[in-house]
Amino acid sequence: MALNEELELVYHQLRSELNHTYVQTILPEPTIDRDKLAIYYLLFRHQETKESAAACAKSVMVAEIGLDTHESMTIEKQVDKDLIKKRQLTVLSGDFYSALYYYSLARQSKLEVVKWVAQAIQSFNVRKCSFFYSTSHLGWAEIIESVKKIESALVEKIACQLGLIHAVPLLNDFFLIKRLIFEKKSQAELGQLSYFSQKLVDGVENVSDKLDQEIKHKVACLSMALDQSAKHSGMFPQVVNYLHARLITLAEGFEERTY
Amino acid sequence: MTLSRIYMEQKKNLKIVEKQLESVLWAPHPILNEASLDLLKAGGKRIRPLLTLLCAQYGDPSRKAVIDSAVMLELIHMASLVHDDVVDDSNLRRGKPTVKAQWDNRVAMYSGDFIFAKAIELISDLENHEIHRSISRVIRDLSLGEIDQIKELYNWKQNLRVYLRRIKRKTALLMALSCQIGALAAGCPSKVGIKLYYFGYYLGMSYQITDDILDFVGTNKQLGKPAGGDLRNGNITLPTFFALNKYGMRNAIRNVLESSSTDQGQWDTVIQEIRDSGAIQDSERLSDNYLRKSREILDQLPQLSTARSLKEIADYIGTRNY
Repeated sequence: MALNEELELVYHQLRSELNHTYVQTILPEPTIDRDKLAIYYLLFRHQETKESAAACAKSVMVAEIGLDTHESMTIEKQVDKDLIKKRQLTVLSGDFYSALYYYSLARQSKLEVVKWVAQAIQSFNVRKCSFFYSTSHLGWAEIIESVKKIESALVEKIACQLGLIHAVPLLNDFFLIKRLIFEKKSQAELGQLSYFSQKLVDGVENVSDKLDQEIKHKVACLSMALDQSAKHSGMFPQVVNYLHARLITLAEGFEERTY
Repeated sequence: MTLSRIYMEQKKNLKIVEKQLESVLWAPHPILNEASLDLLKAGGKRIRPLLTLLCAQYGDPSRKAVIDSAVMLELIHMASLVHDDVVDDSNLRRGKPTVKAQWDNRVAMYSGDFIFAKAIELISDLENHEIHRSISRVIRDLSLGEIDQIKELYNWKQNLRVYLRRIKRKTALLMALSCQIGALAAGCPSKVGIKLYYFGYYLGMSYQITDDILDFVGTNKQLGKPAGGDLRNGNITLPTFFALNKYGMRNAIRNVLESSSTDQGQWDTVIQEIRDSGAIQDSERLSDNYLRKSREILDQLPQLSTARSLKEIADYIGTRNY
C-alpha cells in the first residue's frame, strides 16, 4: 500500500473512532489536522509496524483534538439555552477525547506513549497560560515564539522521545506556518483572527501585513532548511519529503490566496 | 468502628496522599499553580483515596503503587470537578469560589486538563496492563456519563435503566475503580480486585442515589442552594423518576419542565409534592438494596478488620444526611 493510501486509511479510521452520535448533533465534527496525523504516523513508523504506528498516531491525534476542542471554549456569560448546551458539550466532548487517547493506548499496552502525551499536555497548558495570562507585555516576536511552542507541544515531544530530535525545528516551523496561514485565512474570510485574536488585536498594529511578512519569511527559511536536510541521506527522509511537498502546496495557496 | 475512627486509622497514609497531591499539583505557571492548590486546600472527604488505601490492605499496602493510585484517583476527581463547574456554571464549591469564577472558563479548562494529565503521568509508571485497562475504561465511561446527563436533561420520558446507567458512569465506576485499584496495586489477585470492584460499584450507586435524595430533602444551609436544584436544572433523578411513574405526578412535573418556568413558587410546590409522595422512600429502598449487595460482597472476602471498615463506610453512605 502506498503511503498516501496508508494515511487515508488512518484518517478514516480516526474519523470513525471520534464519532459520538449525540455530540455531533450539537457540535460540528472535530477537525482532524491531516498533516499532524501524517507526521505522527511517519514518526511512529520509524520504530513500529504499520498497525502499531497507526494506533499510536490516532491516539496522539485524539489527544490534540481534545485540547483543540477545549480551545473553542467561550468565556463570556451565556443565557441562551442552545449556546449553554454547546458550551457544556464542548467541555465534555473535550474530556471524552482526552480519555480516549489513554483508553486506546492502554489497549495497545503503549504506556511509554501515554506518559509522553501526558507530559506534552501539561506543557501545552502551561504554554497556553503563559500566552494568555502573561505578566509582561508580549511583543510580536514573543507572540510568534509562543504560538510556535503551543502549536508543536505534542509533536515536539513525540519526535524527541522517538529519537528524531533533528526533525523538531522543521516540525515547529511547519506547524507555525500552518497556523499563521490559518489566521490569515480567518482574517480574510471572517474579518477576525481566530486563536490569538485578543493578544493581536489589543497589542499589535497592522496585523495583516505582519502576518504576510512572517509567513513569507518562515516559508523561505523552512524551505532552505528542508533542502539542507534532504541532502543528508538517512535523516528521516519520509518526514522531510512530506514536509517539503506540503510546504510547497501551502506556500502556493498562500501566494494565490486560495489557501 | 466509626467513620472518623477509620479516617484516624488511615491518617498517616492520607497525610502522605495529601503531601503527594501537593507536590504533584505544582505547576510552572502562577495561575495554574494557584488554581490547583486552591482546589487542594478546599479539601473534601477524600473518599476515593480512603477506599483505595483500605482495599490495599487485602494485599501489601506498603507498595508505592498504592499511594500513587490513591493520588491519581483524587486528581481525576479534582480535574472533573473543575470542568463540572464550567458545565454547571457554578461559582461556588464547598463555599469557595470555583476556578471558573475566580479566573474564567479558559483557566478552568487549562487547569482541569493539566491536573488530568498529571494523574495519567503519575500512573503511567505502573507496569500493570490490567490496571491501565481498568482506569482508562472508567475514565472514558465517566466522560460518557457526563455527556449522557446533558443528553437526558428535561427528558421526563427516560426510563430507570437510563438513570442507573448514568449514575453508574458518573459516580459508581470511579468508586469501583478506587477499590479495585487499591487491591491490584497492593498485589492482590484479579479475583479479589473484581470483588472489590463490585463492592465499590454498589457503594457508588447508593452514594449517588443518596446525593440525589439529599438534593430534595436537604436544607438550604446543608445544600448551599435551594432544594430540588437537580430538577430545576432539568436533571431527572431517582425521586423525580418515581414521582413521575408511580405517584401520578406526570402532568405537574412535565408542566414545570416543559414550560421552563421561572416562577420559583411553582417549582417549590412540585418539589414539595415529590417529597411528600413516597418517591423519597422508594429511592431510599433502592439505595439500601445497593448497600445490601455491597455488604454481601464483603462477606465473600477474608474477614479482616478491613472488611469491617468497608462495612462501616457502607453504613455511613446509608445514613449520611449531607
